[in-house]
Amino acid sequence: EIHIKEPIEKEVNPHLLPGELLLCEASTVYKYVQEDGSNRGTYGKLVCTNFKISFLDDDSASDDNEPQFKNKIVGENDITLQCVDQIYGVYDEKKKLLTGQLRKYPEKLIIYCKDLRVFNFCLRYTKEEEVKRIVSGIVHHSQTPKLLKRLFLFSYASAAPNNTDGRNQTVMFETLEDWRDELERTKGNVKYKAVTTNEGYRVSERLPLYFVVPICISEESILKYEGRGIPIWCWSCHNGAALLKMSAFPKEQDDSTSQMQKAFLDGIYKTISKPPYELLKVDDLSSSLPSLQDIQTAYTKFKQLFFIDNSTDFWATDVKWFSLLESTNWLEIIRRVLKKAIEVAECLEIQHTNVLLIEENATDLCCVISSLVQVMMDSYSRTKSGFQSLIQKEWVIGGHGFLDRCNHLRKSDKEEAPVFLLLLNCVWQLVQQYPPAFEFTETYLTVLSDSLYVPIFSTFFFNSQHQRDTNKSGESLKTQSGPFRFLTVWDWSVQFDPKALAFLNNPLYAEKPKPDRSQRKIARFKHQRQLSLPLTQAKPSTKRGFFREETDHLIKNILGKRIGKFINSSDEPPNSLREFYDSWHSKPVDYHGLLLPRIDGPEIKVWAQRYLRWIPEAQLHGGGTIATTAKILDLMEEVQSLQVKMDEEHSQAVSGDVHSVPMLRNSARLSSLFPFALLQRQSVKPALPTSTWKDLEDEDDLVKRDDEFVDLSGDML
Amino acid sequence: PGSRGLLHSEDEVALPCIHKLVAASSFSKPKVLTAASTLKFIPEELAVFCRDFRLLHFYFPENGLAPQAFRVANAIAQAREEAARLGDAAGGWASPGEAPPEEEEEEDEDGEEGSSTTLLFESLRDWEKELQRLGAEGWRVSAVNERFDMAPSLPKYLWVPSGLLDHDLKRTFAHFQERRVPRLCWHYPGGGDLLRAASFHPASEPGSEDVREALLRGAARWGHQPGGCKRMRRGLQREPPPHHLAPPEPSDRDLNCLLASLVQLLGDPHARSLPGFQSLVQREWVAAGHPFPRRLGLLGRDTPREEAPVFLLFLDCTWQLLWQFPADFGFTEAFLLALHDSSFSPYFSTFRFSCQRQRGHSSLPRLPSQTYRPMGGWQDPGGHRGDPHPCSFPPVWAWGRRYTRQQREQFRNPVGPPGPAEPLSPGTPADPCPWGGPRLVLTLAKGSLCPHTLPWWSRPPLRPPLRVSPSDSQGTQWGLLGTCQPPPGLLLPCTAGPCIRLWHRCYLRGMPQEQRGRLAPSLAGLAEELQLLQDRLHAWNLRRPHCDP
Repeated sequence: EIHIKEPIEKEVNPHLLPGELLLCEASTVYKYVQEDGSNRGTYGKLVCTNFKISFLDDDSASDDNEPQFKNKIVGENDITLQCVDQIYGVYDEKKKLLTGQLRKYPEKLIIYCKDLRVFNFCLRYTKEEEVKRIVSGIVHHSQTPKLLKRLFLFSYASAAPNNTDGRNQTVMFETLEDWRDELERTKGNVKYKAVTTNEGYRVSERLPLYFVVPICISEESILKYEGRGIPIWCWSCHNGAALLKMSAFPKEQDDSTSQMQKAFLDGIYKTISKPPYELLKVDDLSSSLPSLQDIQTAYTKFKQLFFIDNSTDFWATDVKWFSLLESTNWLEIIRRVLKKAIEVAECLEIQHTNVLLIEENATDLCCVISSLVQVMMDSYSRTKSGFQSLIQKEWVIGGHGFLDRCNHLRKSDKEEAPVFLLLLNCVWQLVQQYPPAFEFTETYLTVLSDSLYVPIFSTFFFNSQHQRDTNKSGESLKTQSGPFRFLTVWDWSVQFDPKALAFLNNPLYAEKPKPDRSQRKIARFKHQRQLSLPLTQAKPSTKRGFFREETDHLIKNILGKRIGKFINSSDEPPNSLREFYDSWHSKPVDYHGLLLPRIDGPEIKVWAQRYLRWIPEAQLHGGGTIATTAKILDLMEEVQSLQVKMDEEHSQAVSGDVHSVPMLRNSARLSSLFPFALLQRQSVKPALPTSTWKDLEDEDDLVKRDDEFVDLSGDML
Repeated sequence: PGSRGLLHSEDEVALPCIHKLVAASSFSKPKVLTAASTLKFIPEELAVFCRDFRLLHFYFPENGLAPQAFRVANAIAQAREEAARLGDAAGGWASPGEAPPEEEEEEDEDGEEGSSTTLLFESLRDWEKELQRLGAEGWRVSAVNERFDMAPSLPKYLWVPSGLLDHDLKRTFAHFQERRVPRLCWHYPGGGDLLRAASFHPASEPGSEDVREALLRGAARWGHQPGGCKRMRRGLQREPPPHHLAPPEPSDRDLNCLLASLVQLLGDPHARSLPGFQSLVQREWVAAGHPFPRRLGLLGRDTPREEAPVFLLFLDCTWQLLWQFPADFGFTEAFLLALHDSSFSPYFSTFRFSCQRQRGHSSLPRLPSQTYRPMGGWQDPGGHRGDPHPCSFPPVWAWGRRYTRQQREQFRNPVGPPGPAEPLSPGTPADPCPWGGPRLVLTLAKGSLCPHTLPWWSRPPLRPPLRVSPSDSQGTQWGLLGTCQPPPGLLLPCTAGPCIRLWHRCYLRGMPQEQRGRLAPSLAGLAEELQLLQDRLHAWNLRRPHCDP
């Protein structure tokens, strides 16, 4: 009973990027608008290229409703091959996962995307030949192992002339200069130096070309174990304490080797614990944080909550939403990571201790913790360019294995782990807790997470700087004249036009009032205020400090416990952490100073914009924070324009440099998940629970019931 | 800080607000203190768990050597019990003859605006005024219960069908539990009516001539209402005009209050203004006879089984709406929190009584010997002028006595709609159905709306209108709402799991960070600044008329 509209025979051609090739296509494919059981949708052509899977609407002419926020590279109905998470085929109402060779072809195709979109395509009206070609094409190109050189990145780079000057505000950390500047900026140059030892990747292919180590570390030591066992500098705190990372030695069978390694490490520790270096605190992240496997498992469960096939599905799972969410453990992992970052911040800030993070390769959880610590402690990392430089420093150049962790090449599921997404999720918690402290918005984080799957930027498509450099030369492609010039994701104008770019900037950002010159001084002053915390005294005089735990207790109504127990916990080591956390939170927030996330259970939230944006049922139409923000912006704009007017009246010739803010005017028409949410459909929960309905639906039942009724309307006459 | 009403500091707690008192020492298990079970050891620590989720924690440093610690702990336990017992004394230990407190609270012009425009629904005038505002034709105010002899727990005045004479109405009372007959709560501008009633009395024979006749003559479309929960709002929010629905719960004194008021919050912009909201609580909870003292557990003798936070649940639901639609409310979170705070204190007439009848009785001085006066004091009854039986306690709406003008300013949402109190526009039924045509009565039972209602109702083939069926909704039909926009003024909250939030500032208010921003002037401040600038600009232009603005 499908509402069939005569398919318009009209040639619709896919919009192809330079280097993009059409691989296969199928026409008369029916795409459900949203599989809500209504069977509404549109006919069109489904195509697969070496870049994306794309659905071309037959009557795409009716695009009068141009969205405000539009991606120029990946359209509404485009799925890049790397963005495909899972593909299911529907055979006789049964869903089956499609991975490799297919013997039978499904009548429906469900594509789950890594950016949480879900596409439903009906192939019942498509020619059998075309079904075979498109289904096997899509499955093959998106689900089977691929060679690095077959990534679209290379085709695009060789076909598209890259004439962007590449130089934006982001520090790329590809040159020695960049590292020296960073040392300078953080005043780390007294005790740390940028080294060129790894030029030509003599030390290790895992390590970047240039990196920073303590001044006292010799070139020989660096070379000795390919850089393992060497503390590598991440960042220096205003008080001189530094955050360092180190790749551990692999578990060695040979006793003498491990003895030697131990001696080597002892030597290193001894060297860097002596003055001028601060005391050293070593934190082995592989034992103090969840494993990558745990993280992957949790995220896999978590994202499943948002892969909603249809409306019925949604309401069915919605009943158990809170317990399902709890069972994924994802939010708990976020909390543990944030807590670890607070711990590190406390060591640096209060105890003036250097912190050395250890991990096998120092490229996964080390990146998460060190980035988070910098976001919390260094207000520069909360600007857009500062954050981007941070990602370059710790992740891209730092050697996070994006290719493996995102499984872009579909080589091995075992290596896959959403480590970078974990960072973005943690940063989002901070952004939503302290919006004025960040120059960027949550929308920025969301599109950044989406860009992880857009293979025209090199940023997220290599495992290391070495891998990128060796593949950049283009020597394998004889036709290629020069080296590839890859785009960087930080050039946001590639994906968005200026109007859309406005959504990435936070209009309510509390900008630093002072010019850059005095910046350091102010920061110092502010930090000093932080330092004047009561450090030793066990507890604040009032009840406040312990309130949190006890609120929990009150809520849970657990009173049997000895209250003395949690009062006199001062002898436990984490108490200083608690102290640090509590006293920071009892002070007004300084948006340019240290920023500590709140990590109490209720404070850790689901990143609704990223995860719920495609689910109409979970949107508040015209409501939520977006409505408040819109009002605030309205007011702000009006205030600003009035101020400008006043100034003009005083004829002081002030150029009214009023920041343009995204058009949030009519917030009644926006939804809580703006700018992603589509307003196409208002879905409403069935007023009658489905089960109840089934009962009522029963004809016999209704007939029986009739007998009890008396006609009222008749009597009324 | 400073928002605790009668109390002067964060370290104070009203005795009835103490939830639990626990003492501990290193030699003994922690002990919950009550008047009956006193302390047998010298406490080192004393924890006062408050109903408003605060925790006051005291530590006696001299480690068990302070006999005062022992005395203080026991004294608090005694006093708390005492306070509860006093409060219990049959409807009130009023303060007759008590001199008004020294500090005469200045009654600034706009200060009591909220309470003066709040209808208390104790006088005939209030009921008539509100009925007029609703524009509910075919309904009238009946004074049949003026002496509370028809239904002791119902208010003096009831909205009943115009065609139903008091004579006939009287005969229906006996058929309902607690004699709570069906009556109008709210008239939807689109045409539907919301009614509430208790369920039938077990001894009643609903088919009997008495009932039928009475009901039919009034052309009343009675329904009755059972309990429901939050999710039901969805069902109720768009009553298709020709239908009447009403929620039944056996007693009509708990969940019906909740539901009736939530529906109005969704559908009636006036209810979302500050005075409108206060009037709503007054009508659907206070006048309707919600047993506040028992449900809130304010009085000592109450059994825990009778305690149930129905009203607090309502406040939470309201907060969810406020959070989802911040611009549609004339009041703020600070207001809801103040109300939440106030509900733990028995010093307001609003929460002291279970019904209007009890309230009336209590105003007669009963315990002349009793001279207790809560700290800070209160004044003579405020709010309802000309009431023959003024109650000795102020209504909770007399905010001016407990909150500074500045605080009260934070109760108002400057961006919210002013909430006009004028009659609702009749509105055109979206789904026109001729008057006199088949009229669907929906009853809310066990959490869902059912077409089945009263036994004498006969309209079997009627199907509930609120129905989403895959086959029906294809084509243009988009879910429940169809393609049409919701009528203006109607809120459609999202009830999906991810949209239901924890009310942090309420439940976690003990945490310092939740305190912050509670009375934050962010939006209000901006609005004020705007006003200021506009005024100044205006003044400037006046002074220099030659200058173009």
